[in-house]
Amino acid sequence: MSEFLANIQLGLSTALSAEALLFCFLGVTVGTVVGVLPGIGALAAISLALPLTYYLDPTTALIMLAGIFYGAQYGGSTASILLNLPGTATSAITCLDGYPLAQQGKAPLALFVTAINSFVGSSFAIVLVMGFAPLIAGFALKFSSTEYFSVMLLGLVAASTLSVGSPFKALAMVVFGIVLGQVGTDVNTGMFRFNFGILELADGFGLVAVAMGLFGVAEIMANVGQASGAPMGVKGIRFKDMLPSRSEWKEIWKPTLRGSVIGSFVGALPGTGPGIASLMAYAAEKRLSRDPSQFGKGSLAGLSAPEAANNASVQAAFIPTLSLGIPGDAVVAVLMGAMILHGITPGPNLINDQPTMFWGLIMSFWIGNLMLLFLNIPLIGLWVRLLSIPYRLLYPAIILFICIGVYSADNNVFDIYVVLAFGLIGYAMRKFSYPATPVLLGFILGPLLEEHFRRAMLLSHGDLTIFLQRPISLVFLLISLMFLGSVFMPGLRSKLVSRVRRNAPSDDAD
Amino acid sequence: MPVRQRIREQIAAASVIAVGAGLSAIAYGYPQGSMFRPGPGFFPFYIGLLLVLLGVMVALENRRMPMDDSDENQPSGMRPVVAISVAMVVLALLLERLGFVPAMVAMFVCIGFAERRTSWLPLLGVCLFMAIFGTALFIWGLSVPISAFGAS
Amino acid sequence: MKKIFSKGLVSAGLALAIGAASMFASPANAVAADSYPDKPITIVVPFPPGGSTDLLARKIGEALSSSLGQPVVVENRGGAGGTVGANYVAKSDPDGYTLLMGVTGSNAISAALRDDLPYSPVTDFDPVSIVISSPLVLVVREDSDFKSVQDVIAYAKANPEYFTHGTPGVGTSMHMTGELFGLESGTKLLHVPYKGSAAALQDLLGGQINAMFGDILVTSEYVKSGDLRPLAVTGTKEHFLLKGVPTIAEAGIDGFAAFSWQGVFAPAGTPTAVLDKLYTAVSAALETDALKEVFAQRGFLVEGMNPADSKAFIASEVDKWTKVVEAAGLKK
Repeated sequence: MSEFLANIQLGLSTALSAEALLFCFLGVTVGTVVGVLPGIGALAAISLALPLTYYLDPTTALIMLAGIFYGAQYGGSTASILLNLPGTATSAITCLDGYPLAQQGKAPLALFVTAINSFVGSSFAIVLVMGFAPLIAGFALKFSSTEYFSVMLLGLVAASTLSVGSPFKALAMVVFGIVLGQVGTDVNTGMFRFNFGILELADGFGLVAVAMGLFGVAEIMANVGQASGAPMGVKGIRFKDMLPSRSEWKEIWKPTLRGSVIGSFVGALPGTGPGIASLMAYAAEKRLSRDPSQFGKGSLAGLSAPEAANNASVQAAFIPTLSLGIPGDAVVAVLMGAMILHGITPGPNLINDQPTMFWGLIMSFWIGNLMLLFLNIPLIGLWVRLLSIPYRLLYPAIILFICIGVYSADNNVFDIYVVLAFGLIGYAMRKFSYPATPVLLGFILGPLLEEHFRRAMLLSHGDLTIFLQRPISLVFLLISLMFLGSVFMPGLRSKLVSRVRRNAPSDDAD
Repeated sequence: MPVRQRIREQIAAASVIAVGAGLSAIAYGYPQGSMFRPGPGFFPFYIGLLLVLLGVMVALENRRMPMDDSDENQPSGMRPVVAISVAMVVLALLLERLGFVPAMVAMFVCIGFAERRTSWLPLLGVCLFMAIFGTALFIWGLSVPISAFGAS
Repeated sequence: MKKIFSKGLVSAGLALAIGAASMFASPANAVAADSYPDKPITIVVPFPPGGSTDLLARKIGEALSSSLGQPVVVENRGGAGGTVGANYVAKSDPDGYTLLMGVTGSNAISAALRDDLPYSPVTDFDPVSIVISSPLVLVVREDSDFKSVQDVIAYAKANPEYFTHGTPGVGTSMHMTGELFGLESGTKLLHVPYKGSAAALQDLLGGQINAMFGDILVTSEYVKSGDLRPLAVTGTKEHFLLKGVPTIAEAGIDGFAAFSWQGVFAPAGTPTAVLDKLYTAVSAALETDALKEVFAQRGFLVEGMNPADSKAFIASEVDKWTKVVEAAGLKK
């Protein structure tokens, strides 16, 4: 215990130095800004900022880059709530309930709640990183492709239950997302699939380009020229408008905690990410809710759980990174690259060899998250005031941000055409009420599902029962089954009942 | 006009079926492999079939659905869609040849045609603002390798 | 939807065609070698920032800009295992102002593996210098029964396709080294490809796979911590980060040698005088302390080949990996 306190003291002395504080603030500010702006996400910002940190002390560099990473999760929800455009690809889920809240004139409340959710989710995961990193990382190592396959399957099952409207359209869109994910290099054979001879498609469509097209460009195309395109503005924001009422607090605290737990678990698994975390949290919340019909219409529970989860997952992603040297997701992988550039090779020795860096970084997470909380709450007023700018002046700038944002991912104009193509697809989908969120989730999860299925087959020499033999995998398969049962059985039943009613109106027996 | 609307709904469902069928058809040409080594065509082939099946389900559902949510399906003008598409293509074509500022000015001009009556003056203001702010953010701040003026 | 989708692709294709046409139309300006360089030089890194290629390019770039008197800008153009960036440079003007930091995958293995590659590593580039090389190391878990290369060979002979080795993907130098190992030892290993080396390392640590032909620097951390055991390095001599570990040739496969390398490439047709000037600057850069420090830290071996040797080396590498690809039946 005294060692633990000594470590905390060591960390604080590093993280509270003037230089560390300055760069931490810089990082979280940049993170918030790129999170808010559609098109540029944490990955692009960190990749672009990385070369600038060559001249910094390694710990300071990491504090700043990590700040961009988790700061972007705070900012990502802002545009989702206000404009129905996800600021980062992974905050698409926040649109589902955040935008309806804004349309009801509750934008300040929604933004305040997400700031609180983000802080709670992060805090929960940081405590885990501090206390249990090696333990959790050891557990994550038990996950082979067999277990991953079952987790991804659960994710896909969950994805198909997210949206309101026709369940067949939702399912079809999950599968359409998987189809889009098929484009690119086949991991197992290196063959280029469905790339129509275009080398730029050898890595498939970029997640940012797909998300920004389906949600951002499509939303704009549908809104321009419509009289009631933009959500209603809010005049004169008072602090009172932001604060949830007692009953609203009651509504959000449990989902926030559940979201934090789910997010931490998903985040600690290497190869996942905040997108999967917020999906799982949202789906779980919708299942557990007494009134699932409120989801998608401005439910505070539906807003809170995924927001807590994506922040928790981002902090938890540091667990395998710092204790094993295995990056938790794509963005942390770039951070690891940064460590190597600075002469620190992340590995199992990192915590012992570099205690100053490890504890300094962890304590900077606390400081950074506090900064973000106090940065974001005053900013709410500013963001909401953005809505008073006429849409016709706002959207050209948003399109520009999206285009340059996707361009900067690989410095390739091809991605601008991709984002346009998905904008047109998304526009058509909207016209025929095909939901877009399931497409994104199918796109994220589908390739992982295939990759892990094929690797599990390779390692088991083609034995399909492997998924039932391994206990963790079996548990996830059973949860998927329960999910399917509880989702589709009542749906199916009421559907059948309504059909019977329509065919034979006199028969009321159920 | 529920009949035309129903036809358009079915065209949408048919497109879903076509995407699935196309995927399966192409995937059929890829190696299917074995259970030990599922080939690159294995997974997409069945995913394509699944999409076809779901497309058929949607089409069947459409036939039964009463067409009452007409406000969602109001045919709206294609003008903004075309203008925004052209604007993005123009930006992409000019970005690396003429530089950020000329490309974005050209983009804004195209966007100006998205609406029938555009107030050009405020749009010019946004354009100017974005030229300065965008250059500061992207080129100086994030060092995206494009020039403000001139080819990169 | 289908219609709109194809419309998107058509416009994309059209734009690409216009782009390509204008690239070919622009004249390959003859440069006066004595005035070279009179404007900034770009080094294209065909990967996202943060990797070893990026680091090397930036350090070399710094050294070049002070000796050539012009800024050297590093540009990351990632995609498709380095082939998108390499293709971009292959189609650039051969004037010495656009260079590539090429690697084994982008500038040799891809040619062996793919028929659909839009450039040729042999005829579309004039190498300036193969700068560094880096062997790999065959590692297993510390608690594994495999204590030596001979153990591996004996097991793999008795159980074809049961000795599993993880790689960062098809066509990477780790993959090809594994294929070469199987070929030269007369065994059949089971290749398990991953997306990136971290995922493969994760499964090795978790005991899901038997072994990996890993990056020396990264794996040496796990050797130090006692999680992994090195069996042999793939180079021709002992490596300074893994003292006491034999080479695979010493451990029983005569003449075995495989390593990854990185080099600076110019588009084919670059004037010889420009290449020579660049080569002189690069070899001077390799002598600077900044670069020496990077090499020691990253476990790189300095090569610094001249343009003619580099050209011959690339041809021999393409040849070597083509044979492996054909023998293993990997051709796409």
